[in-house]
Amino acid sequence: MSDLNKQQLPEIEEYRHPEKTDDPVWLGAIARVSTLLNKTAAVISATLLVGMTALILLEICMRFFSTSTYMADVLVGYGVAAITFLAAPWALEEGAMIRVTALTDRLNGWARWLAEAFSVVTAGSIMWFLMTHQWGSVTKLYSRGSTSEHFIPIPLWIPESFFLIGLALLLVQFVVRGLRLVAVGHADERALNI
Amino acid sequence: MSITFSAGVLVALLALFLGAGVWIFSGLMLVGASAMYFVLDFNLVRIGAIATRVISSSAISWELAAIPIFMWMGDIIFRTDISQRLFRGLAPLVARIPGGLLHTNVFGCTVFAAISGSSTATTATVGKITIPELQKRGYDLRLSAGSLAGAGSFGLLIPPSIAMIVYGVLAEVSIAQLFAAGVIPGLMMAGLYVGYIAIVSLMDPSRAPRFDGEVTARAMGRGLLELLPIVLLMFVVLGSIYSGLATPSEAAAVGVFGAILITVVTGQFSLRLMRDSLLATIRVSAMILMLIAASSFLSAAIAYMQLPTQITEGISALQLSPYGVLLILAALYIVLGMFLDGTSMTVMTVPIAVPLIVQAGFDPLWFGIYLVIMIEMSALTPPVGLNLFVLQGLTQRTMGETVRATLPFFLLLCLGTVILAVFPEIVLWLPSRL
Amino acid sequence: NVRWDFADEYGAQSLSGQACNFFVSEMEDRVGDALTINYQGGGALGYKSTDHFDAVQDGAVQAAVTLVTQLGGIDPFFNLSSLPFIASSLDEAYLLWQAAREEYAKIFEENGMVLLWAMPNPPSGIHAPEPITSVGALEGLRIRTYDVNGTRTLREAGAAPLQVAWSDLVPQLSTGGLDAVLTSADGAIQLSIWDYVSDFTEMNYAMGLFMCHVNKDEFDALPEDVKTAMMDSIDACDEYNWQIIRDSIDTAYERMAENGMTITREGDVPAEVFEHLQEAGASVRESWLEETGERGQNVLARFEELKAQAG
Ligand code: NA
Ligand code: NA
Repeated sequence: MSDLNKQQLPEIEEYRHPEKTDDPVWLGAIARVSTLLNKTAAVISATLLVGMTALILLEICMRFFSTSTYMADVLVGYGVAAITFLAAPWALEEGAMIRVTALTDRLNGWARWLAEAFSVVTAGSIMWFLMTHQWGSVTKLYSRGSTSEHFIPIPLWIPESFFLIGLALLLVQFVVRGLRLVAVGHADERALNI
Repeated sequence: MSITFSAGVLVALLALFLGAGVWIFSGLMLVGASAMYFVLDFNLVRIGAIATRVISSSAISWELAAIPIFMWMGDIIFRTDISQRLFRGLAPLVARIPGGLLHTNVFGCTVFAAISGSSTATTATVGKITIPELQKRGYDLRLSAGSLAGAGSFGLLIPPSIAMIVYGVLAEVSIAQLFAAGVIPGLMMAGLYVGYIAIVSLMDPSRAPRFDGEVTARAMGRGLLELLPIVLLMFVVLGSIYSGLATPSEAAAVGVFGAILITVVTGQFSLRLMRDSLLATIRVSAMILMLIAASSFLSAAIAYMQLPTQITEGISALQLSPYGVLLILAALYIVLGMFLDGTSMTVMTVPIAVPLIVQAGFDPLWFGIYLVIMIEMSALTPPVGLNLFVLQGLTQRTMGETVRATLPFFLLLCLGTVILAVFPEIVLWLPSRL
Repeated sequence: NVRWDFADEYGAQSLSGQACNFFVSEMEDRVGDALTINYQGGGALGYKSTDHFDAVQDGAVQAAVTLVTQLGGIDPFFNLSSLPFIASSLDEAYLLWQAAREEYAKIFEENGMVLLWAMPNPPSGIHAPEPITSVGALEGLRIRTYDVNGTRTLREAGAAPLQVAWSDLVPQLSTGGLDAVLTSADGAIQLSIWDYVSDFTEMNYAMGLFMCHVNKDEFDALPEDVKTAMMDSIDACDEYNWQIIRDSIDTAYERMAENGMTITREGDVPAEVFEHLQEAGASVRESWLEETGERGQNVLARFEELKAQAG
């Protein structure tokens, strides 16, 4: 298996970060900021998973006493969205986001570079496109002051922001990959070994 | 706008974006947006409004919470000595069946499947122990590798099952019912595997040496004791669903609690284990959930194009028999399964396949099980087959050898599908008893 | 020739689906193919009912049918039809809709939408192992409610309301996690409720409204005669919708009786039970009046007027 498709098994494989990179200094700095943001979002996402599990267990216990938090399903629902969008950028960075590499593996040189450039540019564009629209949604909900219709009303812009943040972080990462592609000729965070 | 034109554009766009190696989640979004722009002539403002609302809304879901939580439970177990215990416990129990310890693969996977929602995790967890042990004892590698890859796919058929949750959410079928529907087909497939291994071993005893140890009642008793933690966990998870204590999403949380308790009782608990399992869990969950969210947008695009109704009408005009429809779908899934993983395959086909299947007179519940078997088959077909990759990692053999080893078990899955199609009661009986 | 998509979270066979398809065929009769409305039921477009308000406002879809009692967080006025015992019959629910229509329309107008017709949910009652013919029967009853107002009212009344997703209801009922369900007779037959409980007590607790709303820009872009035809169809739609709900109650009662359920009519429920529940719901009503202020008071006054006129 080539480097590009070695992440076929996100469930059991850990991503091995290279000890050395061939990034120029300026790119390394941008990449580190992106990584730091992604890791922070991932840690928040992991914490939320613990919180959701605990909330569900609490709800089950309360049901024994014929009472309820009345909020478990809505909070857990928002939690799923948060986990999805906040952990996605880190998952992409760790190579867990799957892609079909059966064809690109057979390409070499400029053809492969072109396929990778196409992937990075199109993926980055759709993130940008969605981000601008999601920004509109979040600001609209914020200024309208809409809340969810639950026991404790939750401002609707909060769950919608998870998606916005996720899109922004994904976009930053695609930009980093794009710059790396231009600067050093490959998009992954790895040193060329010949 | 004819149906062939819109379907053709859709397939071409999918081939372009996925073929070029675009990450599948962003590829699905790109296909949805391009189809709306080029086929439906929607303006960008409208496409953006649709995409953001649908993607965000699909991720806000109580039912989907079961995915990360079940994965977390599986991952905690993956990091403990449960798999060693499974092997030590099962060995004396299966030793006398023709084929001997080869059956630890089938039984081990069946038991582990009852606490794990994923087939890759099942294959990897069980194989990590059984493959080296079987090789050490001189078992035929093709038979041991093949049976592992085949049986590993029970992870999805025997509840809990990530694939069933995804299907249940998309097709609006009760997840608890789907879980119940998978039990008997899962056991039936296990029976087919056990039978096949026994027959092959009887025909060619060199492939499976007889068990050398003594099989005493005491050894069997000790074996059962080794299985205790995993069986307990199984009862906690499935028991809490079917006793009404917890819904499927809640059962997952109960399972995590049970798994953590087991690590504490067996002295394996550590903060490092918790951290590693959490990070591994959100990494995979984010991948699966992003796929579901992205595909909900593609499904919306397909619905705006009115493809599901048109294709259903088109196929019903062909006057195919119900089995004809199943055959066409099976062919489609085998081809898709060569290149895609199970979740992508499910999310991309359900919006069109379910109306079709309902019209052909099949129960959506039954189709869920059919689809899960198609997904299991896709894990065994090259070039992209998740269980093949796991196996390659464990045995260090070439892809060609690995594929040959798993082929008989792939064919057994096909046979199983035919049996389920002829006798749908095998699937529908248990859920109807609930 | 204009093409519209029309979103409904529920399927074509459901009551809201029937209402939508009546509107679609009504428009077809009136304007032919000048406007084609594609009914997209079963949430095919990916929107839940709560998404419709924003989806239609943003032009993601031109028209939708929405259960407005879920939109209280957008404007508390939308909770009007979910107030406990606000309307005691389908006729009263119709008068309440007439009394509040203008106010509802204003909210949609302010958010770039046009309000068309409405459809009430069939009245909700209590499905339980015994008839609710005494205050004691409510005591500690583990009952599934469907909204915040119901939860608050039943908790005040001494029951133990629980929060359970619709998809999780059957396992919870079959294993005794729940005793009872607050829902309409129509909702209950979808669950085959007779497999779990023996009694339905008619309460006419609430009849939450579905509303059909369309994007204003898209509406304004329609040819003049189509616009007129659409506004003209409203009364016919309202009338049809109230009729199918009336019929659905009879059908549901028949199905329930066929399956051995006992139905206790509103008239056979002692007045003290209603008084007890009304009292329990009083705080819900008060806080709604507080949130909606003058708008709420005016509508309730107008509703009383209409009731008096109807005699
Ligand atoms: Na499983
Ligand atoms: Na495959």
